[in-house]
Amino acid sequence: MKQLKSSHSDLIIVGNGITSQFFALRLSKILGGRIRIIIIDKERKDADLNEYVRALSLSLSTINLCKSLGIWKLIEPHTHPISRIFISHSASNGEKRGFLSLDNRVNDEVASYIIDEKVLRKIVSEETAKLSNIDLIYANISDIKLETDQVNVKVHNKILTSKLLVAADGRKSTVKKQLNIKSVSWDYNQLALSCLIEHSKSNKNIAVENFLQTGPIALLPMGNGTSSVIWSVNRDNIDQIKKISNDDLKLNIEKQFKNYIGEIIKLDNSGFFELNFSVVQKLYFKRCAIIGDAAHSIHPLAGQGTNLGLRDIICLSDSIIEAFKYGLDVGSINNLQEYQRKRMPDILTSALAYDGINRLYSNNISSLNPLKDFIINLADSIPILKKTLVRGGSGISIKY
Amino acid sequence: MVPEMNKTVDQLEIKKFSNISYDWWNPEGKFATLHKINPIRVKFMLDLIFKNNQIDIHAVRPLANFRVLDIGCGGGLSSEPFAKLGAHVCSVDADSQAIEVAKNHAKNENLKIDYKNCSVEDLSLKKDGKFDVLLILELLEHIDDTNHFLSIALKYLKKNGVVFVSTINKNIKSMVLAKFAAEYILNLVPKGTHDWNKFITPSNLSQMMERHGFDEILRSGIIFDPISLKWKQSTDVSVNYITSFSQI
Repeated sequence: MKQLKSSHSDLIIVGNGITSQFFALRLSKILGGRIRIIIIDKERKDADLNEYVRALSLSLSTINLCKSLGIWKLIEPHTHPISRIFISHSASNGEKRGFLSLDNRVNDEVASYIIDEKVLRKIVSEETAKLSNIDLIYANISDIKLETDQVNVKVHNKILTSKLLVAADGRKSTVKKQLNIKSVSWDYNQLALSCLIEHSKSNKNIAVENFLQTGPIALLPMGNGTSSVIWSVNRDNIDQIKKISNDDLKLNIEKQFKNYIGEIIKLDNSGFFELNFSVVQKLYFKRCAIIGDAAHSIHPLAGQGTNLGLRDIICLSDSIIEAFKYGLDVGSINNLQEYQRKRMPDILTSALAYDGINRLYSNNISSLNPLKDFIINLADSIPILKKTLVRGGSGISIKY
Repeated sequence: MVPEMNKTVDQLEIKKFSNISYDWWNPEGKFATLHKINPIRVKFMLDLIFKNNQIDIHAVRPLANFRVLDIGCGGGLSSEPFAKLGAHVCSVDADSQAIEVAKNHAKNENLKIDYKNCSVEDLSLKKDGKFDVLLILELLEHIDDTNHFLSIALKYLKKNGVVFVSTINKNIKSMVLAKFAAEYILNLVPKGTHDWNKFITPSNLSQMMERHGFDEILRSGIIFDPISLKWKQSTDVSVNYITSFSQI
């Protein structure tokens, strides 16, 4: 283990993903060397650029965060704007029904961009590595003790003390497990397949989402002739999709998106991830705050997971920055209650909205077809509602 | 050392507090309400200090040149924030248990605070000098002769210094809320904490301070907002309030 300057810090973050790095970056940007942060992760997660592509949607709230940190100029060249979003659903015979077309702009600004997650991770971790007030340790943590005045954790048989512990260790959070923090959760009974395709027609920066009865399939633009496909399938079809050959996969995707992409020239990078719904009952426990996927894992159909987590860190870092300004305790119960009070509405709204949409469309109940049509067509016919949808997804109306 | 009997300290009040002193730093203990109010008081005071002294709040020790005297500091809830921002803090309390708790806590926090188990008349101008900031927080409501106390305390303030006073208003509402509801119904503070006769209205306080040659700068109420369920600053000074004075 690297020699630590001191076993005491203002903040211990467990988990070294994008969310916790943004968190450390924002705190350091504003507080400079005044704040000492220790980040602990059980293993190195260097961005391996050969890893498969996982498309991440950056909403306006995230873009504004990147701009305020001065890193948008590093990120922007790797992003692909979404200018329009087309949403439809398919009946059992495969016929596409309902049609919602969204102009993906808020006040004339593009409201979301797609980026490959590992590229973003690389940029952000290079930025955090430059900061001397942040120590990164690779270790398992044990013996978490949340006391009235401080947090103690054991790392490599050494006790580290801090004022606040932040669980940012993802949906399978070990901190949550060790502290016995309960979540409300259920399995979606869905599995998502993600792959990258090169195609003959330009996608014109259009994102397409079609709700099949077996789950939603989305096409996200990643450059002129390149797109990312995310296809969620219900449990009954999981075995089938796990064994699907590249050729069959190509045919299926072409069938869905032929109008937009023409023919698929190349398909690779396919990978699977499990989908589940989980939201913690409380965003804090004593001196521990829970952020990002550890606090909420939601359906990826609108690509909001990371954006939601980054809105957590803006809120929590604001309260820490204020505590520093006034010489107050960064891990006080007052601060954490405030974090919970400000963040829970946004988290629940996002989690439940996407869950509801997924439930409504991912089934073969034909009697629901008129309702499915009605909602999409209704949304398409009301311009102000369309604006609200785009604005809602952009996350910029959220008050911290 | 047992502090001498003197006029500013009410021994009965000291006993009331020393019985529960072990709990000073427990945010959910006997002093839970104070833990909720403290950030509001601290923000009020520091905002005024930051503004009037053009402090660089991004500096590592923004209050490096400030000398602060915290009278009736208890466990040091408001001494510590000033010390964290780099001020030289001297804190006194007549309750020896509270001072012990305060000392230990500051040590754990790596803060240097000059804690003294004494009353304000035991300080010496020669040894302790004068201060830029005087804190008299939730103290007047426990003191018998406010006027006498102020005449001694104010001697320790530099000419251009500022005094902060927070206390409880004197009216029917404050009697019902701060005394009976808080002590006997809601259990927000231990029973017998307050004596309503010692509560003081903002205008009485202001007049009293004026006789000592001080002008009121800024006053704010501290109220519990039942909608957001949190304490906050308010123009409503009918129960808890904090105010500030400087020499005319």
